[in-house]
Amino acid sequence: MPLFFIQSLAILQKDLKIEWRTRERLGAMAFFAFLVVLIFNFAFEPASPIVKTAAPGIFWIATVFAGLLGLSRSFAIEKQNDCLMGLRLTPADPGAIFLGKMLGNAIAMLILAALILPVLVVFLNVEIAPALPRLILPILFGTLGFAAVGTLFSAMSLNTRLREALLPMLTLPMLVPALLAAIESFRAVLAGHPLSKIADWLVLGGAFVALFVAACLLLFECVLED
Amino acid sequence: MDGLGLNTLHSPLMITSAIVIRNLTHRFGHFAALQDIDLVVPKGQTFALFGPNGAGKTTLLRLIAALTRPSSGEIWVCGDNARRDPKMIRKNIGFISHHTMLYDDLTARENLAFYGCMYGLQNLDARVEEVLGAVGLTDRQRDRVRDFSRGMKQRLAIARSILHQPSILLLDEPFTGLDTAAQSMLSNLLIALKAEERTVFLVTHDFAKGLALADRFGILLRGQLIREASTKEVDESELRTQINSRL
Amino acid sequence: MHRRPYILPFVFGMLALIGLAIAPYLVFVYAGIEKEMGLAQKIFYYHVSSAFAMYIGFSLCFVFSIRYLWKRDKRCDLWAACSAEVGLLFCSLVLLTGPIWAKPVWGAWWVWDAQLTLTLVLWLIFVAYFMLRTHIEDPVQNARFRAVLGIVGFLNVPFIHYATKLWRTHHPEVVRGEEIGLPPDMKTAFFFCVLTFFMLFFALLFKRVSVEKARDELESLKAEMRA
Repeated sequence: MPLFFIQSLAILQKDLKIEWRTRERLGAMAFFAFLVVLIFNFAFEPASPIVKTAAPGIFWIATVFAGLLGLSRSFAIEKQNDCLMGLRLTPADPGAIFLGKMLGNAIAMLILAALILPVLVVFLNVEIAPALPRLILPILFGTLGFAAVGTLFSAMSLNTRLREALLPMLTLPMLVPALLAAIESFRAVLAGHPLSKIADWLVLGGAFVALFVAACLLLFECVLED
Repeated sequence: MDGLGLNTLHSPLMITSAIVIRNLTHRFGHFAALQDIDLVVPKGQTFALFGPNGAGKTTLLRLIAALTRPSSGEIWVCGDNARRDPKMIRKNIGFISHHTMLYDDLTARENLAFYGCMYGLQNLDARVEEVLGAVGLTDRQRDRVRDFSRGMKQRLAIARSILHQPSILLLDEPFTGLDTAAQSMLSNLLIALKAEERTVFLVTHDFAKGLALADRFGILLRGQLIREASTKEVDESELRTQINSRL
Repeated sequence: MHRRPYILPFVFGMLALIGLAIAPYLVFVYAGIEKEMGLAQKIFYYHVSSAFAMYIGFSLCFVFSIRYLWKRDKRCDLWAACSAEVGLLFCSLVLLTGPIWAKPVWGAWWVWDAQLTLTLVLWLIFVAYFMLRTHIEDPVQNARFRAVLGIVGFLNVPFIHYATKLWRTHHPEVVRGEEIGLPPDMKTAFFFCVLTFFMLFFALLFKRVSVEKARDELESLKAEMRA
């Protein structure tokens, strides 16, 4: 395996290990997402049909906002003891650092999504089980797109004043196409449409991930530099 | 510039020097942190850089480590240009600062293995074992860094910096905040590195330690290198008065 | 040497001024009144011209951002930031004129049509660009981060465009007048407006750049004085 991927995997492994030992990030994210779903319930009348139409939106809003919470922590662990400088001192390609960090965030988001789905079933009374296999692609593209954009901007907002506010302001507008694709394909799948019906959205979601990962791999050097 | 033969990598100056700095100026916005620095550190020598806070010492170290791009001027480290080949430079440089650059929730061994992987080292396990032994942390290698004392963290930070056997070691105020055991370990390490013909570039407040360890020294004041000489030519009190008179 | 840049804003400013004086005549007198939309359609000339000027601004920002990351020349960053700024101004104009058009024609201030949604998202991205500008202290890092944002923001345009389009086709939507061929008198007025807005765009851009250069010079003189 080329050194580039070995280094990415080393970063991923290190992040997962730290997350597993501290369990800070995912716990806070999951709890926050749970709260978002719950609060959304109060916005609608109980058992109204609107809740079901809104379910895809609620799912992604919970995932994205909880994800933003986790993202701001993603580079915070590198900031402790100035580990980020330690990383920059190594000859590792900044793209490899980006890829490792991004994969770590994507895995956290996927776990989060897997935790939110049952909450949706229980509290919003949405039937998800029959659509589950077809939900995999939309969720995968959505979380990967989010992780790519979010990782780039969380590294950028690290040294700014107003870090917590700046991250969503940078990430959310940039994420609009990926979010639209994710929400719309989620909705179509829940309504029982086959994947072929949402091919347009899937292509858009996949292309978004491909372009942003490529752009970030190239541009991350400029973000890490000092 | 041409007269110095800097354009060819094989010029005598490039071959015998670890660090060559020419006309280096670095600005933050409009503030010149470093101005017209010219400095050559020969291979195998220990160089001590003194100067008050805010003189630009840390900035100079970061420029040498290719962490920052210079505004103008050139830096070569072991013949590699900092602008063009920062990756090559990073392979040759070890860096110790007052930050440990260690992950608190990884064990000592995991920290070193992670960094070793980022440096692309071969025979990683053996090398990790070796440096752990060198800093006396073999017994504690499976404990998390979070539970270490400050001195142990510093020792592990030293291990991290020499893991990839750098030919140049950069040290930013390495003695501040160290306990006596770590201090003497660091001094011994520097002496050992010297015996191995490795170059050491040391930034410090501590005149006594700096002069004792270094072959040559420099004084940086408000971004300018106002003096550069052999340590044999001065003593501590003279340096102190010189800096105080210029402040 | 330092005087020369002042010629450009002057020339383009004059051209824009003349254009802006003639444009109302072409728009309100020369061009006929559109049958279905009536007078409200007049805003179209300014609305679409602003949109074109916005795109020039953001594309210039994209080009200069790439050039900045490549060459690390402070001037490229200055041009990128000024292009983004003037682009954002025209972007705001599009968003302001949109509702004026939409209310009488479709009965709602805001219609979520693809083009307008795209403009709104671009507006948000470039507002974030200026947020970044105010909240990072180190000027070099500031320039680098903004360049990255300018590049990915612009690369995102086709995605946002495609997404909003798909989104709207999934939900039936009103057809906009501009997609139907324009009669010749309206076409003339329209092209004239577009040209005038180009002039205005470049006049503002050049002026903005010369102001920024002067500011930069002042700052370096101040720094010299202090040293």
